[in-house]
Amino acid sequence: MRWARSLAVSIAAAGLCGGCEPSRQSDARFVSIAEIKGFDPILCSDQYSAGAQIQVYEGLSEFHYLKRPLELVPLLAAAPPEISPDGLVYTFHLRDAVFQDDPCFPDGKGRKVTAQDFVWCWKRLFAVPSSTGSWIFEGKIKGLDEWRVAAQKVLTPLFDRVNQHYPAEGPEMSAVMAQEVAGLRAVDEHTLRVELVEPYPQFMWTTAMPFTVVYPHEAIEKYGVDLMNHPVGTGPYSAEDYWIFDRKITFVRNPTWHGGTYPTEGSPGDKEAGLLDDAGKKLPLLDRVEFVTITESQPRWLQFLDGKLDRVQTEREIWSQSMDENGELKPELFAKGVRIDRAPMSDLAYTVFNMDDPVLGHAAGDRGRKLRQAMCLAYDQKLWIDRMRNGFWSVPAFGPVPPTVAGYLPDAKSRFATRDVDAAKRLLAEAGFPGGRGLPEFDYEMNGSDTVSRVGAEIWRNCMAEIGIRTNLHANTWDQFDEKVKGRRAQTFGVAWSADYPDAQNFLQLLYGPFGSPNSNGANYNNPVYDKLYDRMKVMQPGPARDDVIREMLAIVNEDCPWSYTDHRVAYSYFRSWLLNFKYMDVNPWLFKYYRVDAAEKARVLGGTGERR
Amino acid sequence: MTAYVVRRLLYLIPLILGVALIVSVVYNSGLFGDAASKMLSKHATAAEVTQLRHDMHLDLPWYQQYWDFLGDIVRLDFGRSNQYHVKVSEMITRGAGPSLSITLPAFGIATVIAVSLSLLCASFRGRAIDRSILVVAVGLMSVSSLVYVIFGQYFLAYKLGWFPIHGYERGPGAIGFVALPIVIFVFLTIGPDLRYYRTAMLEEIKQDYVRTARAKGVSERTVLFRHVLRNGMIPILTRVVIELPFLFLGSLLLERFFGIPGLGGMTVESVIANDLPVLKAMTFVFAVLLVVGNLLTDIAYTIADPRVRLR
Repeated sequence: MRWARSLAVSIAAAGLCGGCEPSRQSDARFVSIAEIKGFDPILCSDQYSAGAQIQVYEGLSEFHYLKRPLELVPLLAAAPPEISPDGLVYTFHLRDAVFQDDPCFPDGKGRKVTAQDFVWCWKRLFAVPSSTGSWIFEGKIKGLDEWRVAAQKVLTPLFDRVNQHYPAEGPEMSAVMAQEVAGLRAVDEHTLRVELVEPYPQFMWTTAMPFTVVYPHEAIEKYGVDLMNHPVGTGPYSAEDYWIFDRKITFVRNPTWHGGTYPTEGSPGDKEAGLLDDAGKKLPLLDRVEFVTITESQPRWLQFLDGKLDRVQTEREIWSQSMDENGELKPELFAKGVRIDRAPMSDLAYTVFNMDDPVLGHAAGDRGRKLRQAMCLAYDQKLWIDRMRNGFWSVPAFGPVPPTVAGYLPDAKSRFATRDVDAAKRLLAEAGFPGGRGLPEFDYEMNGSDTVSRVGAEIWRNCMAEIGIRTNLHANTWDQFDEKVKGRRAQTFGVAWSADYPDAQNFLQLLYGPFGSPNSNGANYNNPVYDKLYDRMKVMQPGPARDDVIREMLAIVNEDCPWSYTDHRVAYSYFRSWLLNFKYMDVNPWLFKYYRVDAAEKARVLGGTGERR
Repeated sequence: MTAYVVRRLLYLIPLILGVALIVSVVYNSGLFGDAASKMLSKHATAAEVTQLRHDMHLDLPWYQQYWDFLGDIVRLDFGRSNQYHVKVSEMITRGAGPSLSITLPAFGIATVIAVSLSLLCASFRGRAIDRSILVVAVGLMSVSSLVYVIFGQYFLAYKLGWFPIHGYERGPGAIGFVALPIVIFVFLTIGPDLRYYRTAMLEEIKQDYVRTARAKGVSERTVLFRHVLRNGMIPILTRVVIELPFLFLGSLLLERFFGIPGLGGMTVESVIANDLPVLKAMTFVFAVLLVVGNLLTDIAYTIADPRVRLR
């Protein structure tokens, strides 16, 4: 063994291992569990890519770092917008900010951000047919939909098939991009005016989404589709040393950032947790952050234990190694400086009944409703949470809206979400299927073929078998599953939805009739009363009046049971004791500018050479 | 031989056309899902998906898509990845280095060790040393590759701290990161290689010329290294050259677990994401490498054994 040790020591001594940890004790290193796809905010909107983008790009607003439920605060807007009394016109005044220095500018010096930049970027977001975020403005901004039709007439034929690129920045498009849109105007250099078609209370949430960030048109003109690897933003960091497949992005402090300070207010308990110790300090608190991609759980966990990652999320493979039977961190890990943060997530897992199905769906009328109610009552959420979430990672769901979002009503719980096998059997008999007799075997579509998917599906099948309903499980790849759901051919299936923004509307739209498959209403639920209420609710500002409408909507769907509710997840984050100010935020789990590393604590915990062994 | 090489290179044309046809038809059959729908968000409408499919030429008949693909091949431009929007050719050129930095040295080390041990086995065939080596080789082959990875990462990297657990750096810094994957690769490949080479050496050692050499009093060392090894080169060369294209593909498992940004990990990601341009390019490049590898094998025969003539 001596030879191997000597070899390894030589390698380390030669400094060849230098890249495996940040260069200074005060730097930080975080991990993404999936590949980061790039820095074009309209093409890469998955959570991991957005987590990287948000370090470089900024929009008009951001979420308050500490307050829960989430609140918006201005970012590139100098203040909250002026909103007209009818809720249709939003006027934003921009703060002074400049883009990062980049060769895309004539002298390499970043220029000032103007309202026209927002207009240009939002037009690009809306015009490019492969944009993943155009839905946020569809039918919302006066004149924008009409402009898009005209813009796409020019843009679509320009599609470069080989490079998979719609050149919105091309010379052919310059006249189109310059066309005035009545509802989206730069009044002057610092003033952006947005006029909506109808009240859109969720509009303000969209100003904090990664889709609506600003970047210079010069960057798109220079890099085109290669903006993916050349982000140019206004944010606290710039990306250094980056190529998409190297699985490591190094963020360094942007010297031209407009600045910001650590929040001085938080939620109850934040002060006691030390989350306000840096209140009022200038951001960012870290000079340099490495963001690496590690797709396998073992190396992630070992690097975390080794002190080379500052934070990881819990997962099935490491739960038993790190937590005791009460769901608490094992003392030996606490002694090694591992800490844990628990935060409820804005999501919902549920089982869908296809309402197009003649036995289960609308066509079956009252019998179908009773059958669905019986199936919901037969389902064992607790068993699911025990087996699929280790008993701790989620809370049971009693409705479509998670407790963490605006519009959640704790008193509007479904009476069919708590398991009651006897009541389920009674309902089944009332539906004309005593003991399941007369029912066909139902198909349950799995969205994977792995063990975890199989276990989840088996729980469903066993629960249904208890009341005499036979279920056939079908393993699918994601594509096969997606195709079946979008083609309305999936009879029952399990899915999950994560909030795009923390508002009930984002969940309630999943049951809106006109959004049936292939759109987001995979249940193909179609209830005219519900739809009318949705149309009313979607234009109302959050508050008691909207809550009343939501309550009516929930009463309908909770009775109709197009879904069987499962759970809302709880995020368990492990972080090291030297990582200060960490507080999990569901919509953006990586907010590097607020974090700080206590170098002395890090050195103490790691003992200079690492704490393993 | 020049005429032979030229003729074999010309054979490449119909082969490439055939491979391109199969690749194009299979990947555009919808068997792997709809690439357009994957590029868009969960909110995309059917009309938006249809528009993008149309623009990407995914709604064209198979022969027109095949024609597009042939055009890409002629231009040597496989376009851009659907999910990363970077040039596939750039992905391949940047991924080849990290892949080869594991597979080439590991393959070289494993081959030298396997050939040496096979000679040892052949000269002591049937005896304890031969049987022991064989048992170890079979043992190494019987253990799942995942076990090597998990053990290496946990024990050698995390517990003993001899290697980095995960990561990669371009340039000389790569040595530290690829060392453990190389060790594991050697352990993974040495078993089957050793058994194959041992059989080849035993075939040679039974030959009359070996008996004659020994009868003439030639030393065992000369018999092994000058006669047996030289004549055993044909099966060795066959295996080595056939494996070369696979080295280019990298190691799917090792790259994923150790975070090596090579072609193996890239291919796995592309399969998961149904990234057609990358998959098409990788399948095509691999097929061409295999054909070229076969040609090189034939040429190498003539060098190893002058009796072989290429016509």
